[in-house]
Amino acid sequence: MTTLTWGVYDPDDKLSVLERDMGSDGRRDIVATGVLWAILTALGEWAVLGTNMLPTLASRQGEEVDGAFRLLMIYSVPVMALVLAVLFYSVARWRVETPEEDGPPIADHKGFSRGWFIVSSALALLLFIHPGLTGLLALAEEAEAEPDLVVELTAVQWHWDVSFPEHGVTMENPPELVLPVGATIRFDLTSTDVIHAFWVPAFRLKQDAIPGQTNSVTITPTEVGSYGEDDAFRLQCAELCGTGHARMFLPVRVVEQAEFQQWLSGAGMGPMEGMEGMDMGEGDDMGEGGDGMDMSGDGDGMKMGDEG
Amino acid sequence: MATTISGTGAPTIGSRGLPFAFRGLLWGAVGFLLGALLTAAIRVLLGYPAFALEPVVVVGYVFGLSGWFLGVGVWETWAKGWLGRETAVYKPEGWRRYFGFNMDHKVIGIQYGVTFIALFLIAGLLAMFMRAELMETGRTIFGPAGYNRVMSLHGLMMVLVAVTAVPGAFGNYIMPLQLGAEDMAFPRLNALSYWFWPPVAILLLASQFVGGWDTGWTGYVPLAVVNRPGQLFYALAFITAGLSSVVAAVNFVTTVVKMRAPGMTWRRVPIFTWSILLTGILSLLFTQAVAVALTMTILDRIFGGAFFDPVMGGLPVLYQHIFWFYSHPAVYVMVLPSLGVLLEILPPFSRKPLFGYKWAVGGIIGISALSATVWAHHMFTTDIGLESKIGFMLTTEAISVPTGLIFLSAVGTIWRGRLWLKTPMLFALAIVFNFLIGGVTGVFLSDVPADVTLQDTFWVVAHFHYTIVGAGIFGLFAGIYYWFPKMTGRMLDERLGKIHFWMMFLGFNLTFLPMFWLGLNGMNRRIADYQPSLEGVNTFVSLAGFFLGASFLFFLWNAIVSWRKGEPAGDNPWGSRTLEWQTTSPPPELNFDGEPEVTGDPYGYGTDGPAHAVVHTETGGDE
Amino acid sequence: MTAHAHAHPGYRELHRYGLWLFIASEAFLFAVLLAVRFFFTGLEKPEALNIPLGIVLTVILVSSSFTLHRGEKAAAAGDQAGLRLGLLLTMGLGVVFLVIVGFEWAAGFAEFPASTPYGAVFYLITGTHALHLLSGLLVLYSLYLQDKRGVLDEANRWKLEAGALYWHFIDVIWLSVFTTLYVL
Repeated sequence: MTTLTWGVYDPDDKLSVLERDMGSDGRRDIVATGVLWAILTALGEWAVLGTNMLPTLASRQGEEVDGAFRLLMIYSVPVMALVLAVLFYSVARWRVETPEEDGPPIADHKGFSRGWFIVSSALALLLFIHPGLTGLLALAEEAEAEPDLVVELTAVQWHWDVSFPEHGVTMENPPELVLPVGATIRFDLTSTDVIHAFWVPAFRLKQDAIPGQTNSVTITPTEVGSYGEDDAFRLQCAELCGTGHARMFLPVRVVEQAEFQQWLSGAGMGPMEGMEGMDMGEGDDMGEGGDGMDMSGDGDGMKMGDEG
Repeated sequence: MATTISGTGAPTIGSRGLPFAFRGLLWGAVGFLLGALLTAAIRVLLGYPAFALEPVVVVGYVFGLSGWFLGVGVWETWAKGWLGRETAVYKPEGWRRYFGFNMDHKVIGIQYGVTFIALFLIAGLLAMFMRAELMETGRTIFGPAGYNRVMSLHGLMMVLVAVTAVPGAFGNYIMPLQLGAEDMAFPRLNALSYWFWPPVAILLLASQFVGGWDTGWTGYVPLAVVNRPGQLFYALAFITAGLSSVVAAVNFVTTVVKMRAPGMTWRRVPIFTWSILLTGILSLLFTQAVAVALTMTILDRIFGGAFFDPVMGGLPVLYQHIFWFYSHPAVYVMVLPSLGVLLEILPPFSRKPLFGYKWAVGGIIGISALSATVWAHHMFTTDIGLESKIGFMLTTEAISVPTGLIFLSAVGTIWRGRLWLKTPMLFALAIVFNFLIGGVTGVFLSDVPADVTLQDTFWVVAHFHYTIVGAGIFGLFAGIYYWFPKMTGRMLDERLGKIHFWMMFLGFNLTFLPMFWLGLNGMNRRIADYQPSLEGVNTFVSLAGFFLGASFLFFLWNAIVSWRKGEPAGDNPWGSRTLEWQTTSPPPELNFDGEPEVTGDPYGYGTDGPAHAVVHTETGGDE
Repeated sequence: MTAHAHAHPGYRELHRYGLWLFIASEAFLFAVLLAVRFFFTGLEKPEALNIPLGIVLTVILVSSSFTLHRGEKAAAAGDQAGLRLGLLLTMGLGVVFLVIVGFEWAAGFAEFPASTPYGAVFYLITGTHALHLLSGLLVLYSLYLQDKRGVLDEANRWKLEAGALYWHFIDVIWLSVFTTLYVL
């Protein structure tokens, strides 16, 4: 391999191979990159504002989550666009087959570096305050709200036991979880074995179910819906809990108040009997003989306690 | 110091007979048996049945590890000295030098590099199996139990690769050269840190014969306590890897602080060496925490659970605090050296000085310092209180500022440069692209309101692959393409390199970009099966993943062929100014044919200022 | 190689720096362990804890640091017999310490077994410390052997300094362990 040598950068050398970017002292490049940045930002924002990447939203608390997510997307676009604009422009403009000379020896630019540091610090602080802190405090306030309904969820490898203590109803590994729309519901979560987590994608919030303690999460469903129509309506275990983790989910059905009362008082047993419980299996390998999201099989059904 | 060990007239060993690594296996097996018998004897004395798998394995392993080390060469080269007897040096020629307790940092760098490329390819193959399972809903090839095992093994192996590969290969090989040193500060410790790894590999392999484990690489309790015995092997392997990290870190930090050539002031230390220094400090301090967490897991498994079993008064969340106290700094251990590689490559391939050198160094130091304060952002959905959430959200979002300084330095360096798009440069530019996506998506996870839905979904999977693969592993390959000529004396084939790059870059982005969408739309992490509505995207991701996997075949072919028959590289094929290029490829035994003296900026491209360094030869003239 | 040997610090300076780094790392280990104790059980401790025995253990270890220091002084004065005596006394005290810890454990198992939170923390921390002490004993024994063979000469005097530093460190760690487990 031949030894390569590079000439020292000489701004006055009119024979310089890359003479075209001299003279203007790079100002033209700055403008061009700025235009590219603006275009990329506009395209990005158009994409972010014009598409909905989020699944169905069906809880009031989830609005805080989605608001934070959307705002962060909006903020991200110009930040990413800036770096990408410099990257793309530089590669397109200044790529060479073999460098025959060095570039300009710009070791730093005080103003630009300081500006970058200050702007990025300010942006981080801004994001911390809003949507971070504001959203967090709003969610904390929601969590304090007086619940209309308390649901106790006990995670067991690998199913959920549900009970409505105010109504004296307890269900072991029920086939579905029915909830009333518009009611503020506090879920009290615990586990009998390992750590699991409560997550209904349509409700957004997530909370771990930890053995030996009770964690709560408050949700106010805002839309009726059911797993049958939309898989965002499911109580999915979201913390790795062993073999059956992937299929440890409980279909959720959000219904009108009256229908919920009816279901709770036992009249709702009708449709539930038709839909048998999921087989979460007890064996070590859930996959043996299993085939996908198999909803058939023997369920443990539900046990009703004192009614009234 | 190197001269006192390799330079004196100590007898040399290892040039005949079976390589020492085989003797290490034998002595290790003997040690294991001794430990196992001892355990059985003690158990009988205490009135328990003689055999119980886990106590036998733990004690047997400690003895086996000692036997392994003595066998692989510690006995002759080191331990005899502890008894007041004369030690020898393991210094065979040819291939044998890689199979024993060799103390040459250049040999150790290659040992690390080859070992970790192999582990990377194996763990990558496991990822192919995972994507095959996730290609369709339902059982595709091995179902949930098999999937969880493979996923866990993939996770731990890749974490170990990401933590170790770049510091192991280039921290060992290149960093002393960049300093103008003739070896690392502690050559024996250096060899020791490498030879911890074969036992780790053996443990991971052995774990699969007792059912493996299925907690992922994080090993959360109580699952890790109630799990099958494979979990114990996981804990032992992880602790062993941690010991290696601590030993290596003592060496790295001492070397950078104490072994710099004359004239190498802190302002002249190359940026890659800076990244290794800070990586070393993080490993040195925080690795101890993961050892504590895993030891507590082992004790709970053997003695029945007071740490983590709530029935006995234990606290499962305590594990997460200790674990992440190490493991969050550890993710910066995975990324910082590769960011160092990135900033090391940009100047010579842009023919410009590193932009904002002191901002970049400040960025590396800032990331390291803040990394100790962010661990509980992995725990926003546990029971930590509101105040903790606020604090950890603040520190986590603050980390974006020093990280931004790395980007400042990168874009400032390529601006108005002479961009020479050779393969190392392509990988470096890809890091900027990937790490940008990885960094920005991390901000979403630091934000508690967004995190509560994104936590433990494929959004997280996509995010950390964008940082740890997109920056960490891309940095490994950038470093390989950049320094391979120095380490082997031969160039890698540029055409195959470009094919590898474009396949890897496209395959990587096509695989992991859709995962953000999957995570948002209800695909939680670590699952063998998912909702039917996600099948189309998952099939696409799997196909892209296979394409990504295939790219490494081109690399492997390139590396093997070029190592043997590649074009000779010469001393400095890239026209770089740092010290590792001011010597032959590969360098002589003591690295330089004279005494290096640092006289200027390591990245003074485009200036007619003094060279970064001159090497004074024995005769007194400058090269 | 002699031509550029002066570029680097001496053997002793380099090793001293490395050892201090290792000690910093070990200090972090114990810091995490001691933090676990407070996270776990707050300031509660069992009635049955034998505090006088803890004080005896502390006195033994502090004395061992003293005897080791005497040994070092002797070595500095060229008194090899004094060094060996110091090492032997120190090792003896170390062994007595371990034996007492063994008895303490045996008694403790009955009062606060490893299956209680305090017990688990107690045995984890004292056990980790005891393992370090055991490794310190091996280091001292190695120094003793080397001295007997006459290889612990002026050139190798660093090894003695290192072994002593490590032993004193284990001693200091015991003081923090004692404070955390017995006093607070």
